[in-house]
Amino acid sequence: MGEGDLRQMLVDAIDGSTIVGLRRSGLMEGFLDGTADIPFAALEMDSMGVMELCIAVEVNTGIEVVPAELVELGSLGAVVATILERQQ
Amino acid sequence: MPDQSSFLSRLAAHGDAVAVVTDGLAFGYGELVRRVEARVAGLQSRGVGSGSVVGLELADEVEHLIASLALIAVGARHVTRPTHDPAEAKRALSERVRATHVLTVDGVAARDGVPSEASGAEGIVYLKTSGTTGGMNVIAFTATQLAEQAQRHPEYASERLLRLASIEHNNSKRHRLYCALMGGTNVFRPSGEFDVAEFCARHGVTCLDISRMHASDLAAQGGIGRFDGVKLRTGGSAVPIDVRRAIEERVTPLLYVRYASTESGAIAMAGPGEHDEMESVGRPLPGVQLEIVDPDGNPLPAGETGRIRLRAPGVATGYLDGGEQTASRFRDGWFWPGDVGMLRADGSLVVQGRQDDMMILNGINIFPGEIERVLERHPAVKVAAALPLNSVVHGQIPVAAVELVEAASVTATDLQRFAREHLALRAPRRVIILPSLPRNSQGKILRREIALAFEKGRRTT
Repeated sequence: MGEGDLRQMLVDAIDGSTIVGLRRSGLMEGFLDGTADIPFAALEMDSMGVMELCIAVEVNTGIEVVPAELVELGSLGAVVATILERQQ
Repeated sequence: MPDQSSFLSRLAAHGDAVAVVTDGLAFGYGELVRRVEARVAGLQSRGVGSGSVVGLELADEVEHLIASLALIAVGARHVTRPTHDPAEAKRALSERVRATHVLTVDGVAARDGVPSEASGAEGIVYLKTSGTTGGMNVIAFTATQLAEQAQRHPEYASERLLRLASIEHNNSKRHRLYCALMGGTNVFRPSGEFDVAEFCARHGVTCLDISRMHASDLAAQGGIGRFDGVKLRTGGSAVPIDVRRAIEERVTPLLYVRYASTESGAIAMAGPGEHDEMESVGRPLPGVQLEIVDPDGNPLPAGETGRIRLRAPGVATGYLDGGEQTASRFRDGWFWPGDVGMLRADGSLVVQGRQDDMMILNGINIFPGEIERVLERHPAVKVAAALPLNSVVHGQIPVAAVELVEAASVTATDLQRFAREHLALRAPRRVIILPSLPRNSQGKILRREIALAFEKGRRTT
């Protein structure tokens, strides 16, 4: 899965989940075209949201990320970078 | 020696009733018995009798029925070797049941090096069913058991029954035999494409028994009024309420949804006026004792979800050679179909899913059936199959594959969002759209193949 697909996958996963801050952040378009990052704080994720993001990463890429590890990453851009790194 | 005259006398007792109808043929029970007797003589002249195990490979449905009745009458055991199965599958089935003979359009041939073994006095029909681990289980039903199962269908005595699936399929075969045992009329379809409604009208079909997939197709085609007076009976997998409503409105109001298993035959059936949002399969059929129990086997009151168990005359008592699941499915005097459900206060049964299929995602119990029912409510979805992907972190992650209706335009993300709106945390976390869901020759969806598609997708896309 390339970087663009990964970004789209994360947006789709978040958009269809309990995480409410994505559209309110105003950063979605920039994140999709790779010109902006979205910090987790802007996503307004609770623990359930973190879990959902972990599931989305695993079910779409096969890469296992535990919630604590995901929180440490701090932003969606860092999630993308981590997946790309582990895919290699 | 088998009591051949006793078995045939059951058929002869139906007197002048019409036994068989096709586009070019119609005859009564007297003629059916004569044809069966002629086949019996042919079998016996080739040494087929009690102790023989015969692989029956006849695509012609009338000839198959006659041969099947004859094999029962001579006290042989027999299994259908579907003509459409690959040669290796046929060979494996013959090995599994230790077939001594094969009966085809060319006649009866003995299989080299397979001796006959002593058996009981009754003819036996082997039906095969898939095991939960991918293996095959074989069930042996005596003629008496089949006759006991047939008693759950008293309506067959006056039915003119059409089934679209060939008699080479297990379920069609057992219902064709029930119909003959009860004195009804077996109406057989022509080969190839045909106008089902016109055929039903021309031959006075009173009951059309079809798969849920065929039922959905009929509802999609419409043709209101073309099936007036014809009962449509379906089952085999959960039938969502939207599909039921569509059939009632666009095909026939005489809709029957059956809950059954290969091991038991029909268990319950919901008829007209019994279809609701809970998607009940109706009350247990006459003679069926059914309970919902907790994991310790204690019966649960109405409204509580638990494991389904049942007993009834004619239910199997195990699989051939023990099989892979005999100990778990047949115990304590009950048959455990492996389903989870609840009985409502009115005695009707709601089947909620397969116990074996239940997924646990971070502690949440999720049944594939609930996901499939929601996805199939989406107008673009023809059929859905949900399944778990194993996860070290989360347990099992629910995902789903769908087949769309023709010319539908929807994305996987749209469907995932739709499911999320209805199922919240029980929704599939990934949905894929396939041109068609992989199925076996009997139309059963092959979830293992779908799982492979997901696994592949996780690595490469």
